[in-house]
Amino acid sequence: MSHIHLPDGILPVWVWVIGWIIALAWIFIANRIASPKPDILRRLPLLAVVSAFMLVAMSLEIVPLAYHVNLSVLAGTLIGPLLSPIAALIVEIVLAFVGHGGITVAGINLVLVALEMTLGSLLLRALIRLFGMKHIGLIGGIVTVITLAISTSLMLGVVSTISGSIPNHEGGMVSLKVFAETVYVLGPIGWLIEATLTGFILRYIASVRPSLLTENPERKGGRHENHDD
Amino acid sequence: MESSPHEHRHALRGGPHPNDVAYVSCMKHFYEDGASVEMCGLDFCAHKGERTVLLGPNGAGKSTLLGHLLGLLRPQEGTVRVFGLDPTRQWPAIRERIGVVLQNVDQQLIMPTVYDDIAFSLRQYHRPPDTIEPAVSRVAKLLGIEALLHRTPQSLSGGEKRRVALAGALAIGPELLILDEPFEGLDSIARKTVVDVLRRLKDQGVSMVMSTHDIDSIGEIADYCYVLSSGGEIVLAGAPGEIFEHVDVLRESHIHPPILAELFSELSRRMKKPLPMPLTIPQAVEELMKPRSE
Amino acid sequence: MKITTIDYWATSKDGFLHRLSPRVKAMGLICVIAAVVVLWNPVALACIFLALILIAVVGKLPLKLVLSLSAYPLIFTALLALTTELGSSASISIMLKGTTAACACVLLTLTTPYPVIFSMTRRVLPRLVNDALLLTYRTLFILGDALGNLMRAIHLRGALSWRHPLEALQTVASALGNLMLFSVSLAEADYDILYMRGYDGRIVPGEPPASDARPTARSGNRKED
Repeated sequence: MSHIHLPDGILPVWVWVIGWIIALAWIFIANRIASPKPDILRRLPLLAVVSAFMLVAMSLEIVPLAYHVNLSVLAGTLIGPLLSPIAALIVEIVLAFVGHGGITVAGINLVLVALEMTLGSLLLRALIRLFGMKHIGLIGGIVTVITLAISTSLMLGVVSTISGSIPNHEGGMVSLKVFAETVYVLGPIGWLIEATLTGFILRYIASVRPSLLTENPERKGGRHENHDD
Repeated sequence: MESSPHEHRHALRGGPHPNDVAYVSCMKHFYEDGASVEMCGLDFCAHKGERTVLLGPNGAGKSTLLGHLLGLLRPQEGTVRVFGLDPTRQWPAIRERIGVVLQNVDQQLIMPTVYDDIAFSLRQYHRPPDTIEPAVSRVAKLLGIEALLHRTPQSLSGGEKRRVALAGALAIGPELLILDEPFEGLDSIARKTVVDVLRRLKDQGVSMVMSTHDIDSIGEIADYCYVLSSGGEIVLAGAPGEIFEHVDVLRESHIHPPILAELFSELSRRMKKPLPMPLTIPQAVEELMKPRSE
Repeated sequence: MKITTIDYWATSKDGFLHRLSPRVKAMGLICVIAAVVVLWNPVALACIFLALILIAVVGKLPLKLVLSLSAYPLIFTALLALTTELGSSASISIMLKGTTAACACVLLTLTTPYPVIFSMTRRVLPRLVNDALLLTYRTLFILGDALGNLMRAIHLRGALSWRHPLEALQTVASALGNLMLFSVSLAEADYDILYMRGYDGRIVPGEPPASDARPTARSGNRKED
């Protein structure tokens, strides 16, 4: 439930316009900061690979619930907060063109996914610094639940704007109480599945290549950056 | 080993010769997982205009050596020079002179169409726009891939991808071609096309450094060979005919000698006199047809 | 997500929709999206949706694929319709809106190779995003194949049984962890390749060849999802 992508035509125009403004501003700032950096050569393939990883992970169905994960916390940890919105934009563009998520609402969907990636990455790294790698699985699971709970709540907040724009069958305002309750009942199932998966994956990575989790992806240099021009 | 035109290569030298396009001396590389490649003993040098081939078993260090020539790996010890420069520090100064085809061509093809991928380096090097299409067409025709130009790379077979990667390397008109397993995945017709192309490039003065397992094609594609042991040490160096005389050394390096080399090695042993080592079947037939005194 | 199947249909087929100018198709998409945003009349929305389905049928596109991709938004819109007191008209409209917009997008991507789509987005997106989009699309196929191979290996070795969900999740996590490490290695290899081939921070766009043929795949010879 946490990764329902909002479709077109449901939200009031002003909501998705603001969503696009926020998304574009975030992209613009990230692009301005990231592009001139000398290590953009190293980050570009990582950006592409992380975006592709998220998309491919989404294609994996966790049977029998037919639940799809996107591993945004892991992806954000790999790519770092700076490039997270750009990765989210790439993911949303591809998803929109295959009918998963709308075009007008891609801005809002982008903000939600980028928030998950950014928040997840910052929280995870902070907790790793505090507690080390010993309970990385548990830490990763907790971070995942927190970020997904926040993004789901934000999504509900966005959806709640329709209550002012669509009349109900009696001509009054639409109540989203039951919808919200349903989301908060079904949502945690999805959060737990993704949290469990994320925890297991983190444990796996910690045992094989822990530097991926401990090194700051935005400080690491590339091996081709010492060449003489 | 008899004295050969390449005799000077066998000695340890103090540095690259002016005629070397690539030179490696006593290179040591240690990987993070503890594996290491140590290439001391004979220096590796690739001469201008020659086709230099690296032979060795899996894990011998062929790709490691090529990685050093391409500036992708930095040796912990030793000297690596390409066109007299250190490729790890000065790659931008030499990259327009070098065409590369890596072993894993899936990773090498990065653009959405074959045409765009072949043209990629030409565009990156800011070659005049009106020269790009002719250059792409020329190499596509050379490699028989004109019909693939509008295809998306992910739809190609392994052999087609390899030819596209080679086209991309040739499009820039390199002075040095570095090829890691150039025949992998190619059927016999495609392989023959590539062998013909490499021969034509040699006639045009292009230098080549290749690694290959295809021992039977050495006679067609190599002017000089280096044989690596499993630890990366160069144990044998010479022209193909000279290499194949040392069948035992090849076997010790886990390289199965070509059938012709085994045949003539056995014939030499039984006849108790050395026979010239043929590299191709016509040469072998001619040698066998010679009248012999008992 | 069927991206390889979509790519196959976009690059291997040659119907009238494939031959239609990409700009015309993009304009059509924009018009449909605009209609979806503005309209609340379920009859009007249903007509647009049926018109798109008819176009798909006439264009000989795979109807099952078109419908399955178009139906994805129903997960959200049906839930919204069932849990709110929207009334039947608004409920149907909401479901049709998402489905119609998705259908229009799918028709575009099934009939337009991605290099052509990206050449249109190139005009509006930052350079870094464009370069990343190009690399991402190609990487999707590599990672998709890698994950497919991993899952196949897991199934063949009998290591995935949902009767033991925690163990199954652990197995899936190992596959994904493996994929993640493979992805990082791939990124490092791509970094080397780009550097070697002259990339200096920007993929220089170029003109297509004079023959202007559409990018294609080999027809009739691709595995489909």
